[in-house]
Amino acid sequence: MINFLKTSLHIILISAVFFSFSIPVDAQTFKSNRFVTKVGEAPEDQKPKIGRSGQNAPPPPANLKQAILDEFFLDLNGFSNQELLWAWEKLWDVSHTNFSEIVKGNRAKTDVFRTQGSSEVKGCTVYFSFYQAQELFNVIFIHELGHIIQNCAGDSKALTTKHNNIYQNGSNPLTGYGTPVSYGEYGAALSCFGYPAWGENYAEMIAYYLNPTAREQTVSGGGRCINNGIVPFETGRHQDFFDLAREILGEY
Amino acid sequence: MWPIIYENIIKNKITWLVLGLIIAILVLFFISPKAPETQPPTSTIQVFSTKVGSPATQVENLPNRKSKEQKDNQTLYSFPTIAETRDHLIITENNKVAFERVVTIESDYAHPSLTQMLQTLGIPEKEFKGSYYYGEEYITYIYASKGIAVVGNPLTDEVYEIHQFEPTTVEGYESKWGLDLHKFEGHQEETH
Repeated sequence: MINFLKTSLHIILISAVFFSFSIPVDAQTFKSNRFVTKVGEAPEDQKPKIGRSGQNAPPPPANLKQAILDEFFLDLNGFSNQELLWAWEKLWDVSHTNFSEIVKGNRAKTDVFRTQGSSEVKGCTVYFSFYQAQELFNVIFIHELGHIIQNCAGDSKALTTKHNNIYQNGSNPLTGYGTPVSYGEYGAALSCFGYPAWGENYAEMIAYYLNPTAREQTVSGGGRCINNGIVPFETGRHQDFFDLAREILGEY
Repeated sequence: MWPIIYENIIKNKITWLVLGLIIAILVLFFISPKAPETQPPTSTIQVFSTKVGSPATQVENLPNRKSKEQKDNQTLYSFPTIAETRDHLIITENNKVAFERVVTIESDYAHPSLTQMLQTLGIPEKEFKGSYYYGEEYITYIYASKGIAVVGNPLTDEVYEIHQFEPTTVEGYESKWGLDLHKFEGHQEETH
């Protein structure tokens, strides 16, 4: 009996020593907290119907607004037939990427409303202005939806922190719109319109990755913003942002 | 003595049974779902061994720190995080820790749940929408009398920062530690 107790005691001690190595002792090391939740994958039947790489947009159905909502989960309100057609074509053009899925996130749809003012994003809603040229329409349409990814997809999918790390580490901003021109408190870099410059660079990264032949569309904004007149990702410029966009959206 | 014990381990069926039971209990302990956190978040976000009110000398023992003298007898210590553009901060004042900013991010860019954090802390004394650093959608939830503020994105249910400071008023927090608070007057894209 004594031997049995001694043996048991040794087993417990050996087990305790063994398992103590698996418990981190980190009183002065850096770690984040344990409050971690992750967004789970959507069930297969709720995933967007995308993944038709290389296909042109099919002939537009009679009810294009409804078709865009059904296919891409975007509710475009107040758009003309011409604009709906441009949106339909662009969304089909990027339909082999993760774009529609990541814009949708866990919401049923994204609302896009027509505005008489300049385009903007509030929360997870887009207010979209009028644009006469298709290329400009495409760039700004994707730019605004890039803000939806930035605002609403979550860091582990949108990789906003990873973007900021690249942005901070000396990579040139993609366009004049994403270039810091002033600094707020704690050194926050602000764009030419006074918003966090990284946020504008993020949306520009999404916009030009999915419009790779488009020239920079930034306006001067009364001389505050610079337009470099380039095709941002041309000739391998900004490879780090290009790689990040590909990581977020998949191959274009 | 030792050889006899280990001989017994091999021969004694009861010993094997005990060993099996211990292993089973330990395995169950490590794989079983943990009970929900019931403690306030201040104990679960312990990045620093110091806390508000600790002597400043303790901060000087923390690794990877960079320090910068500030005005008003303050010293700002920064510590790197995964978010390379946003450091953990400790600010000491009159030789005591007066403010801590913890950047809450995991290596896979996951963040703590804002909903859970707010459920634990209760109704904030004030919510301030807008951040110079994070942008206009981010909200700072201020619990001034508890000495806590939480910066998060309610659209994604993510906590980005937790601030701890000596209990004060909302105005006291805003004026002294709320330098990143920034109210945006509508976001207008001026792209063309």
